[in-house]
Amino acid sequence: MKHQLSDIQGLILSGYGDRPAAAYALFEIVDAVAARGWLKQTIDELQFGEYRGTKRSVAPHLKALCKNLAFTHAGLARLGLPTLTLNGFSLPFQEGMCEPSRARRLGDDRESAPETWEWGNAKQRLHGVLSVFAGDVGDSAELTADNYKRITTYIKSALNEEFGFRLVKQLDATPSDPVYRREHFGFRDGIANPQFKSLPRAVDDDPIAEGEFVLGYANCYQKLPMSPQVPDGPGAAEALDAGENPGRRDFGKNGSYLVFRQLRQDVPEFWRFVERAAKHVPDAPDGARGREWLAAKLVGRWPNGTALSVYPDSPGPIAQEDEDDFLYGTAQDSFGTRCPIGSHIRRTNPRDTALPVPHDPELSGDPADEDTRNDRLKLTNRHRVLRRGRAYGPIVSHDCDPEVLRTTEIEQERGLYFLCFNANIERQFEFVQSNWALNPAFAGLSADPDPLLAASRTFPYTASDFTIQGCPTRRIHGLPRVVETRGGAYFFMPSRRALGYLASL
Amino acid sequence: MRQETLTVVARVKDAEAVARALADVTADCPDGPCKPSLFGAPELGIHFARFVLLHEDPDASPLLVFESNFDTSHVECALAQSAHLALLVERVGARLFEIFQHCQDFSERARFVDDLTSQLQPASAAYQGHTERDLGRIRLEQHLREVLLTYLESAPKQAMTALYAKLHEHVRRLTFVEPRLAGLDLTRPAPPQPSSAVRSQRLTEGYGPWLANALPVLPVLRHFLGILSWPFSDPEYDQRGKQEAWTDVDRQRFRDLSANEDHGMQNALTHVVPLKLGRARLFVLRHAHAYIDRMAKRHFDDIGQLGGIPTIHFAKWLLLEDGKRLLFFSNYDSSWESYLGDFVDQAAIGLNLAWTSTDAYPRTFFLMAGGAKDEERFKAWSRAHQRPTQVFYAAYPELSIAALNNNSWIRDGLHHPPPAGELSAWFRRLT
Repeated sequence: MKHQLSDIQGLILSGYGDRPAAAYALFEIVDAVAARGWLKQTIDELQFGEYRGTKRSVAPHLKALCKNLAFTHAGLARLGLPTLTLNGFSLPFQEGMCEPSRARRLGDDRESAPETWEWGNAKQRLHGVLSVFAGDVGDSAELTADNYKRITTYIKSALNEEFGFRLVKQLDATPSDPVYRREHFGFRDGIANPQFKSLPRAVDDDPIAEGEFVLGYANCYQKLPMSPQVPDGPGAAEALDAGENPGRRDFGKNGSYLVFRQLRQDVPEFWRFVERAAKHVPDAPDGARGREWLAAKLVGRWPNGTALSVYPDSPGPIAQEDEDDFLYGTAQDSFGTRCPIGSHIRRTNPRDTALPVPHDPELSGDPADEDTRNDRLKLTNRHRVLRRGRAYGPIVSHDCDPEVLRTTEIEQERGLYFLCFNANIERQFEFVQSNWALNPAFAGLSADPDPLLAASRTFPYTASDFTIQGCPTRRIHGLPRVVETRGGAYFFMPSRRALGYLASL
Repeated sequence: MRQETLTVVARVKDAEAVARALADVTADCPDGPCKPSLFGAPELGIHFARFVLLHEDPDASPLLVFESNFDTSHVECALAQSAHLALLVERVGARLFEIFQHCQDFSERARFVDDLTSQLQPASAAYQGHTERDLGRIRLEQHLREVLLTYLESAPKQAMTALYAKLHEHVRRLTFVEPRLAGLDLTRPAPPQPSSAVRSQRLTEGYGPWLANALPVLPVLRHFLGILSWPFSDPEYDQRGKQEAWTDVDRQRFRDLSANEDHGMQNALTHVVPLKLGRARLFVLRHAHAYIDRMAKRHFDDIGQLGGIPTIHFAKWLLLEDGKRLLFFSNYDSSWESYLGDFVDQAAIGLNLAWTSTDAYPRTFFLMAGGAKDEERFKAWSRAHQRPTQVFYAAYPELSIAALNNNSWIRDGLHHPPPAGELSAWFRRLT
């Protein structure tokens, strides 16, 4: 993959932490001919992955404005991809996130139901998303405001009728801050992202097969993921690699599926619940510490990001990336006595937790045994995603004071633009969401959904408990819904050459 | 009490009438989509039941397949089945006859039990994930866990032995007053499930049982040369070609399957695939299934895992139409994606053995290697041969196997106080 970086769109390879300002422009293609013309002019302006081949200080650097482009299935059809290519994409991408059974399985019911979404619902025509990133680390507030203006100006200049587009919605992210790095509940975010095996990485942690995230490479089963093909022919098709079948070219190679969800967070409700519930847990420390302790149990990390498995009693020093290189087995936490089995981080990335029965070593192997741990890790690593999301909406407390978070009600919506990349939407994103986050019977539990993402969903049955393993085991009830889906779609982010092919159609 | 399974296969006279009758059954689900009231009476003792309408052969009328997995006190399979059919007819016969009257050989209501019995089809291999647990016991143990966890919510921190003694006393007292704990007598030994000693032994046996139970499969060696050559003559499943040719009809089929799934903890998989042509394939399949069946009964049933898959409540394979097709029924926990993932990750060898003789199955080598190891292709093949389950009944759609078995072990630990050194392992189960 190292030699293909310039063919892969940059957002797949990093979250552009160096570009604090970000916006996502959702668009419809109203005139395919004009849109293809625009695409042809624009490909070279987009940010590709060359910069990931070198250290940050060495050229090539990121462009001042990093732009990336992805399309929905309807968008690719609108641009004129042939049916055989359109059929070669994965079924969830073809059906869309708002397909009723899929939505049910993702927990998008009641207030999260697709019919209520601000974007991505079945009635709306949504063909793609243009993501734009700008600015530099350490920008002043003024500079940041200017950067958002630049972004908006660019989006307006590009996604307009002249070029065959209609801007459906522009989503502005909260400017990111390399020091703050918190999501709205007040927890450090963006930890424990898998790393590409063959790319230089800050720490030698968590490498995953490239084919899990980018089409055209071997996945965790040492197989090439299914990739859409186009008929061979003169012109832009020739630039693509040969396809699996004779007479075909590989359209999907170096592209990836982008899952995009707008998740609204009810911050005061989360902290109100934690405050109330902590009073009923006999082991919780008194007062404010009890609140922090219970919130950490629900999340699996202390607000500063340090893992409960490593620092069970109080937060550790501010997390360095390499401190996250732990297994539950080696941290003496196979049974959830430090980081509860049902906590958010554990169930969205169970590492070496024995599934589906962690509490029965006779059945699932001895966690003290390294081979056993590695075998389990291998299995859970078949369900990883590359997260690239950013928060949106105002930050009410820069020091994340739970008291301020609990009591400050604001008009403006806040939440997370959850973005992630994967090569197999069903086995990766949807699996994590349905089988781990939403599943009340995850890892031998009975009525415990993910306390952040999944409380009181009707799929697969309504549940709202949370269990804190230990002796005695404690349980709390009545987890409220604190995250609601407000929009979402599956996109495909094609390679540079595939974009060239689209432009030539 | 033990559990048994039965399958009735009937040739349909009037497919539309059967479809309407089945729709009536699913319309009557006051307690959720996988709890049709038809099967809900506790005295029927049904764990899982289903109806499927299969129209595989366009030149023949469809088949109606009914399965029930039920409690029985009969030791012998045939007796258990006929007793269950008699009970069904006695309690819900009128409603069942509404469906079966549109099938061939079901002429008279008075002969209903006999007609059902004569259409029984034996499974070529069957498995159950939690032996010895009847419905009453499952409910009791589920409630027991709840009682214990509720007690712990406010119990002061204390030494494990002291806490255990208090829990034990709390439960003992409740057994006299709490109707949902009726029948729990901690002074007597716990009922079997099987015993922990048997399970421990099975878990340490490694590949031994595969060899010890291999007798039924040895006759396949008669086709040794064929088996060696099949990988080279069988065409590979053309996942890409099929997918690229998808039409709106295919997409609708996928949506229908998907709409039926995930309405509770458990799902029903109904899978039908023709056998490859030739008597040798049928011969190999029959013996392979006899092997799997024996392994299930003598090994897997005791562990609660089918070849490493820990999420199957009841599963069975069945040959239809004189061995023309292979039917597979599974009642499993969690989503299709997770179940099929377990197939690939945990049990590929056993599955290859079960399906290698069927049409277009991803290529295997010597019946056991390859096949399901090809993840995307195997999943695509599986989905392509999956059929909708028109009626699905699950008695406890909020109980996973993991939880169900765990509840039994928790109970076991109250009947037989664990030694001090094993107390923490028992407490760990209270999760």
